[in-house]
Amino acid sequence: MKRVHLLVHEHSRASLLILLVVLLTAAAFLSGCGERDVTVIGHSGGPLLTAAYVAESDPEFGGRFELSRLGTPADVGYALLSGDLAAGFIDPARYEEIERLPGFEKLEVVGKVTYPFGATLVVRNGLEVRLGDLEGKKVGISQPECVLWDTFKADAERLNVDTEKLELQVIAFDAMIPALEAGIIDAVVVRGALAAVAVKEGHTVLYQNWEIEETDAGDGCCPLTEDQVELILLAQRNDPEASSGLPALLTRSQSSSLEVLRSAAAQATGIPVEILADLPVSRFEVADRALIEELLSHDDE
Amino acid sequence: MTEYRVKGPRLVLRETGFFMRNAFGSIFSPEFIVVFVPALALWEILPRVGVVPSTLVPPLSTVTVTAWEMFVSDEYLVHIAHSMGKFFLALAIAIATAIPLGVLMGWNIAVRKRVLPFFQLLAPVPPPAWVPITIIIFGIGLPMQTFLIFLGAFYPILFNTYQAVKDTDPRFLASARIFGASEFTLITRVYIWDALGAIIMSVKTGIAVGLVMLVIAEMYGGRSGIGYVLMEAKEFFQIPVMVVCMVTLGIIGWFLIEVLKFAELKLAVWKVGR
Repeated sequence: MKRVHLLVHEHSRASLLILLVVLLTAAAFLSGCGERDVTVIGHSGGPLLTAAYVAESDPEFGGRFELSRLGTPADVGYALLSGDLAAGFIDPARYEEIERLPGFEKLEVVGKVTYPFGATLVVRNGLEVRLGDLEGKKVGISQPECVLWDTFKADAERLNVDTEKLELQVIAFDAMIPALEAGIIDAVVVRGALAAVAVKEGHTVLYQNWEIEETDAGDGCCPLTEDQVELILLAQRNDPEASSGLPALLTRSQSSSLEVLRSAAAQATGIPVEILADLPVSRFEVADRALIEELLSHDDE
Repeated sequence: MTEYRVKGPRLVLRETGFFMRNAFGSIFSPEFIVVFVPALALWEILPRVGVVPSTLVPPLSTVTVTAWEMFVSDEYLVHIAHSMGKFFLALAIAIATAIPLGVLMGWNIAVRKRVLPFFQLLAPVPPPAWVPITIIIFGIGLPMQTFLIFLGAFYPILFNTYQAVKDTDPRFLASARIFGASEFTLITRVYIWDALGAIIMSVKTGIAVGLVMLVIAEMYGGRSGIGYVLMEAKEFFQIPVMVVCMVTLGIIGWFLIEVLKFAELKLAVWKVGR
């Protein structure tokens, strides 16, 4: 009996010791988290973040800022609302939702990322078609109520394509490339910058929406295109490092040569620099809420 | 004694009553109520007083109103029906394949040595990593979603069944062999019955993992199901809708586990009360 008691006693002591170690480790981890004084910037990846990728190699960036990749722009929005991120990039569709929520008043718009090409239709490798031949083909879109699809639809109908005869498939973006590869879908409608990922795999861009500037700039052959807002940089209002230091640093990175910008994007995304060389570079600029709302209302028209 | 001679609708009625008493008994037990009611009260109060942001954690009353609106519109019920169709199909396939395979692996060392390492290599692969391959093989839609849910439920059922059959009490086997039982009889009368409690437990785990996979599967392709509604709500900051979907999945999981507990009560009487 004495031996059994001793064993039980030893087990209890071991359990207590393990519990103590677990608690101490958790406490050390949590206290460590609280001590971080780096300004964390959330994003969901992609080739549009060129300025941020270049900034990462800036000596002023390291130690002050840190890029943190999250699953989707919505995840960045949640982390911003909860105060876990000092700044973050979200897309205009999520911006329009998040700005209506209580708690948005703690955030402010400090920048925008623009890109010349909007909605883009990519057809699968080996499919030799023109827009008029798309009837009956399966087209992948990422959301059922999708601005990109509406843009494509409007343009295609202007060119007498009956979009009602296209077979729409709602499919997550990261599943689009395998679906194109397997020939399960014939085409996808994606954002212009993301089309580079599909082009990298050998698929072809068949249509691309350009907003043409209605000015005298440019010429009859090559009218100037208007950049479209692709990402909006939000920052915590009470964090000067995020709301003014970060936009200044990103603006400086943006002024790097096109070669540097493309090389940073290629390194961060894995898209070969040769493919990016044929495409425009995304542009980061300082912005405020009024400007963003004006630009978005223009996009909705 | 007459109690056990009840047949037909009366038997169904009696068993349903028994099931309801057992299932809801755990919810309405004093032990659970003292935990559950304060938790619900905290859910209402904490966002209201600003301890947690109400934008991210909507109060219970807001979620209740949203739930009412969603259930009143038939659309959400159609989504639930779609999800359940996929889920039961996948679970049935998982049970029909994993249990026989697990029994074979537990019973026969030669089968185990040939098959087990294969599953041990594949099981740790996170199910979302299978998505591109499943799209290529099954396309977008029901077959792909069913396969992903199947994958979630299959491994817990397989490994627990195998382990339970392997751990069958050798005394039971020796006794059966003394009476001249064949290997087939041993499997059908000893191994499976001794492992039944663990097998039912493994199906419970399979249900939980399968529900997780249901949400992941409905993220990719298709425009129906609770997972689809949940992900859409998450992406567009409709947090009360998201919470209703989460609660719905929780209730479905709880109900299915209660059904299995009832099955265990009826089939593995000797395990009850342990």
